[in-house]
Amino acid sequence: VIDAYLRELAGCLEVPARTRARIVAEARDHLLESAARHGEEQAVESFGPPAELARDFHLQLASTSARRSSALTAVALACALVLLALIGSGPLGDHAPWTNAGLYGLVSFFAAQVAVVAGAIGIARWARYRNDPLFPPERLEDTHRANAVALGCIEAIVLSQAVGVVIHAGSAGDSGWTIALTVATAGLAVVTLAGIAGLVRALARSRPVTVTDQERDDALADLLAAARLSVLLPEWIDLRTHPWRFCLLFASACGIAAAAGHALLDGGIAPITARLLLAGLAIATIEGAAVVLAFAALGGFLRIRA
Amino acid sequence: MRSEALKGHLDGLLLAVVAEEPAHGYEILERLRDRSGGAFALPEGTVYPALHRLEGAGLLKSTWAPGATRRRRVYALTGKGRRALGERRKEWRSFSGAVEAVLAEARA
Repeated sequence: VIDAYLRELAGCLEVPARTRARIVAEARDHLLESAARHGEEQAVESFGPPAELARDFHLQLASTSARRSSALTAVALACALVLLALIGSGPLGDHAPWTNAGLYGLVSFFAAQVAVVAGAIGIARWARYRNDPLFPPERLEDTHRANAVALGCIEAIVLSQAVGVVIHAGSAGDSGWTIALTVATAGLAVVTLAGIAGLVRALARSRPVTVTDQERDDALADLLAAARLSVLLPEWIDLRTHPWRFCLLFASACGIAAAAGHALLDGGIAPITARLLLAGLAIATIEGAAVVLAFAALGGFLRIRA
Repeated sequence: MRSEALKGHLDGLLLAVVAEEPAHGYEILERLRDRSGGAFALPEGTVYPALHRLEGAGLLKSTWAPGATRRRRVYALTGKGRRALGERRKEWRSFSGAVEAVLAEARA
């Protein structure tokens, strides 16, 4: 009876071979001890159905993997932002001007913004459930989606910077800074690959976890909970009820911030000239349009909007 | 006692039981049953995913130990587990005190 039970248990477990061997060995030890006192039938019955036990293990492994994957994504995102900050305003940028302009700069600039939003959703979800014994199974898929988008964008940053280094390294002049930039990009590539490996592992672990009672996802609730805020947005721009109004407001704020940032980096806003205003308007429009496009393309996938 | 009600407190109970002395899974369940006067009767397999999770969180550590007839996985509390147990005891005292106060008021 015990052997048949253990065979069934082993068949239900979709876990690494080493983990399966340990679980089965522990179950065997327990059942033999219990059978010596109560008989094999009673021992097996008291232990519980193999499928339920396997589900508990699947949930636990999927939960651990989702947490690790979120942590790796957070590290990759932090490294990408530090690299971009160094390029944007530090000595690296001065010695590698291609990285801050043209196609490379454009890809990095927009990919970084999408990575920050997707990463924030993933990190907020991790932070919300970090003290729970298990990550809620109905949130696993959404967490993986957020991490996948964030890591994909970081990969785009790595590739655009790497292409810039390869094409322009010869004309950069100062090879020391070029080497520093190459090392920094390579470092980010390694962290991103570790994040992708973590995500693949997390996806594999969450595959056997079936969710029967699918709850509606709420990215806004996760963000507010992570920031320990209980404030509610005014109903007319609530992300949950009026996602496009919220998007337009957010896009406008991003556009204004981008225009102001560009004006400040370009030598300050005084005196305000027609050229400065025109450039600001163009930047604000491009940034705002990019936010709306990103919301349209990824909002549904990230479950930010219905 | 319903096993669903118990599940929310299972981690703390397991830490408390292992804190007495390192033990293997069956022994841990026996202690849990004995100390609760038989009230905590879970499907026995339930404790293993919880023990693995606590080990993964660094609150327990486990090793294979030779027994009279076979090897057994023995669990022991770590320093982090001891601190976590202290926290859980404090939380439980505060929570049960509050529930008791409300129930007592309702009775009056």
